[in-house]
Amino acid sequence: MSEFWTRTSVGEFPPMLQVENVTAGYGAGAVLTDLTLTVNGGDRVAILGRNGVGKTTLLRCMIGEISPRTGVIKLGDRDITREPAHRRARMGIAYVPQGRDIFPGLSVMDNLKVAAYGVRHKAWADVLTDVLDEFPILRQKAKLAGGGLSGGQQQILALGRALMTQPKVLLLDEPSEGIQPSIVDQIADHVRRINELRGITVVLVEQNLEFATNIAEHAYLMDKGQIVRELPAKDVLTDRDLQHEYLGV
Amino acid sequence: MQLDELINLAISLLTTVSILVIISIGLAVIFGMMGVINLAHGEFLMLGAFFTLSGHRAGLNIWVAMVVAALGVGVVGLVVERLLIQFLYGRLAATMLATWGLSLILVQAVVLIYGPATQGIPTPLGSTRVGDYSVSQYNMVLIAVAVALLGLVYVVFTRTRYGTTARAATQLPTMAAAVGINAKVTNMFTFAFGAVLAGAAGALLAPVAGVVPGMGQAYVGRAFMTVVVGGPGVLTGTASSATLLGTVDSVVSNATTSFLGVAALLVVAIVLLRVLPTGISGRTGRQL
Amino acid sequence: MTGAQTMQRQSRGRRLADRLPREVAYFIAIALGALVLSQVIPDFRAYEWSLWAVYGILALSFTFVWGHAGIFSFGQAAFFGIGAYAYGVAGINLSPTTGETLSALLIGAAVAAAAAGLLGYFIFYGNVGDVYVAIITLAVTLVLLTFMSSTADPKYRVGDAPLGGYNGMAGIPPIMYGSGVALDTAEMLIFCVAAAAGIALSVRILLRRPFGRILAGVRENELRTQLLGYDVRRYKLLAFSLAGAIAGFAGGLYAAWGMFINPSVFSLQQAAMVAIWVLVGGKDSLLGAFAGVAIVQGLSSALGGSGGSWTPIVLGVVLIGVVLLLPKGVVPSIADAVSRVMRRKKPQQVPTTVLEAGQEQRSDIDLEGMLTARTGRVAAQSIRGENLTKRFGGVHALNGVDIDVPDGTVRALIGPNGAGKSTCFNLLVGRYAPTSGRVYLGDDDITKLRSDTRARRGLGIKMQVPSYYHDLSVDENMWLASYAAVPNVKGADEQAARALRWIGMQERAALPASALSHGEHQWLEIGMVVAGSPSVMLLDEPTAGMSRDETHHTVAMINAVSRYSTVVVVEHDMEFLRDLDAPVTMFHQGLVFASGSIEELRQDERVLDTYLGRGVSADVAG
Repeated sequence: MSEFWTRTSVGEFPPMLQVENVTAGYGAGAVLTDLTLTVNGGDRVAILGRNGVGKTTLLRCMIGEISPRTGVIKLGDRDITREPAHRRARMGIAYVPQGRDIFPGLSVMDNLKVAAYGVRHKAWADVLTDVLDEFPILRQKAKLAGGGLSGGQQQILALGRALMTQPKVLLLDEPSEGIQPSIVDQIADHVRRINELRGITVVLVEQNLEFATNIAEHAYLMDKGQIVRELPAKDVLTDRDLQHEYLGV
Repeated sequence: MQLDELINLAISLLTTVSILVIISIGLAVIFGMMGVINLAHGEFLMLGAFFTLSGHRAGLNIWVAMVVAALGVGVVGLVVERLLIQFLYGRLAATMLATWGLSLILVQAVVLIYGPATQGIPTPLGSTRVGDYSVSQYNMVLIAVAVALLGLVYVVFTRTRYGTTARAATQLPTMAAAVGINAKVTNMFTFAFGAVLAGAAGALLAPVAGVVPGMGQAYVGRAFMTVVVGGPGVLTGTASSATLLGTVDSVVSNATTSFLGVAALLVVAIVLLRVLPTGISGRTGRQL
Repeated sequence: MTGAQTMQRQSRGRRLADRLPREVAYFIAIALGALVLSQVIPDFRAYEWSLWAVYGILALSFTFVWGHAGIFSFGQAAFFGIGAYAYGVAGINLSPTTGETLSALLIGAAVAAAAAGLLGYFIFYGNVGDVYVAIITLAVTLVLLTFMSSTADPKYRVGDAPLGGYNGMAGIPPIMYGSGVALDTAEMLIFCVAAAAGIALSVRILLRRPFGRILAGVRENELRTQLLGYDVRRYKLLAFSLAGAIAGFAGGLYAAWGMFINPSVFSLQQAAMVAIWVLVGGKDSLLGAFAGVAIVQGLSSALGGSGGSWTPIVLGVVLIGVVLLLPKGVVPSIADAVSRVMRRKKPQQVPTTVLEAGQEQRSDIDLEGMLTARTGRVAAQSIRGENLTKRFGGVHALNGVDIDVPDGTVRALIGPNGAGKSTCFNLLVGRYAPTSGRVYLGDDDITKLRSDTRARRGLGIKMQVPSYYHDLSVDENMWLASYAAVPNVKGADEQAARALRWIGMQERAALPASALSHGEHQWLEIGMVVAGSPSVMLLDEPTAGMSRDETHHTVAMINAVSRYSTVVVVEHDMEFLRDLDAPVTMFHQGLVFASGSIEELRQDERVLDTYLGRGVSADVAG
């Protein structure tokens, strides 16, 4: 196994990603209003809530696609609020958006390599081998165009591509959406492994409560642009009132 | 029809198509990959011709002069991107007008430096006899180079780090940033690459066309139509469009005058666009 | 004549003067000014300024087609040239017989208009994008350059007029108004200035009329204008043709001015100059066209005429400078700076928000008035989808859905992301055609109709992404929506007033729409949809981004509307759905999964399971 596997030690507790009093939105309105959230290193965290409460906006703020109007975002000790997205990627934040955004015209192999080219880390060839070992389906489909894969395969490719950037934090936006149930379980397993074995912090936005609680240890509920509840993930499944109130069920 | 006549016509046709490929490929890269309308494209071509002229006069071998000229135009492209284009991405009208202003400046600068008269370079190589006809060997070179340029673009965009990155950045710009790609840098190189190709076109045309400051204008209309009719596919679009439009031009030119050939090309292009608004390769949505 | 008769005559005269637009007064003033000027300035100046007036008309055509209609046409120089050549041909052939060339001037404009109409048909009815409009018009200009340059042979002639190839057509007659009497230099100045003023002021009047206002809508937000029911292609074609006519008229004047025309009029240089004038002067005002010409031509003149060797470089630099630094144009930027310095008064109090105003009482009189305005009676229709299927490439978004919403009812479409409700909605709207299946509005099969046609048939549409006219006033937003349903100015004014009262924004009518809050934008759009007097309203996430209170308000609005119109709503917000208490159709995996009231669905285990993601297949739908 390459050095990549044991590079980060498991179970780091200091805060890895901090969002402090962030207000952000599109145009005149604000989607996130004075939102604060701290994710510790090595955690697996789910962000839940109805459509339109700002979950995706929050992730986009974290990766830098949206600039907050007020507030601070920190990665470890560094204030990254004013850093553009490509620099945050190089600093260690990996993002898999809704719909995966696989580069449709690039082959599977190129999708993986381009991430390594982007973050400009050395020794990416070893990382590539590890990723192909972890996800054998990618080795099988290496020459196919990214746009030709099924939803589940694209999700696996997206995870592999994220790993190619050797991230500290992995942001996933509705990874289970549009994927058939049998593959969804596999993906949950992969995500858990990514965290347990490589120590990568995972922040997951989801609508699918089962999937989310399968992976995450902590859950945060969002409503109207703020975090309104924090609770252990497993409690979400059992609390019916909570589901009705916050999750639009 | 006699065989030699047929060969002569075929070469004439292929030459016209090749010239279209050569003058369009640089624009296809810039417009097809970045959506930038560079109205100074004709002037990049013109600079390529003039740099070749200077290089040749300075004693360089003609082929070396052409390569140096193309690279020189690439440098010009780099500077133009940094000073002007980078501020105008996404602003259609502004880019067109600013590059138009640039073309005015470039043409007049060349007039002031080189003078307004038409100058020329002797056509290298000679001709071969094919039956009753005499075929210029330079035309064969043009045909070979057209194919080579298409191959070069293919290799650059599929086999190099820059190329893969550039394709990702144009396919999904925000996702590319999320994997660490700095679009600003990539765009700069893409524009410079397009400029190199435009310069190469000018260099190649220098021996067969009159080298004059206004020569860009003669080619920019055709180049644009070829690229727009070709659609987003940089290679498939340019190749198919050049073949189609080049054939029209060639056939009409041989039947009437070369002026009418160009006019026919433009008219056919306009009609084609009505039928296929996104160009020939628009349906397939391929990037290359 | 008695005193009473005299007084009657006087008051009739006064009433006539009241009815004439003030542009007539401006015209008279300008024409008189030109008359005076022509007597005092030397001939060479008059000659130069006549040309500037002609250029001003050409620039005006570009200001109109780009600044007002939003069409970036590089072809104005082409129509200018066509008009010039047409004037030349008509003038040479006709003037020996008629002794005048005014007819030739009109012919020039007509030929250019026809050419513009033909090209415009290709462009606007072919769904070619904005980029391509610019390129095609550029290419046409170049075609003409190439073509006309090749007509040197004397066999290329129309009647007595040889086209002349690259050397151009000579011997073109000047403006003659009868019996072969030509205008002298001073008279030519008056003629050109009067023509320029006449055209500019006529355009100004046109912009105030419904055609001009709708054109502004097309420019500001083409999609919204389509969804209101206007055929934007027709408006663009008309604007393009009119601009062609104006440019052609200028071309005729130009040929008469110089008594000569050659293909350089089709050059890239000429086409560039048109854009430069308008960019420099500012594209948002008609005056900018003339200001731009005066500044640029004045500058060129001062630099030693167009033969000066630094002129192109200076012009290029000016163009780049204006694009980068003064994107609005010289004149508007200066005007802005001046007004910022001069006006330091306190910003006026923004009127209270809709909710603060306590508008709980929806005025039903207004509502009924609005929703019966189109046909004179309540016109609610049913909307139906039969076996709707939609595939995007390999993705099966919708797999055979039947949906039937009876007239005068409300229906909510719900379902998790990707379930198909938005696709179904878009099929009803007409955003794209179904892969198979049919859509019915009342008894009519509307499957093959575009969105704007469906809107004209009575479909009111609000898409998920807010779409209204940001930079127009609230008032104007509403008027454009109203005019589509009530095609006369007075009726549209009334309809718009009703709509503003109904949404409680009558005090904010003059504000730009961009000044409203997010929730108010949604209400503005709902109001616009209602003002269109629809028989069926389709609303996609009308309460997105709204607060609780705003959502309640919206429910009340929808319930009120449903008395006169059918309403179909796509929504996620559970509270909204409970409040609304309307029948619900739930989608899952491209099929209708369940229907019923929201309460019934909430008790249904299978529904809960799909939302929780417990892998329920849509095939078990009851």
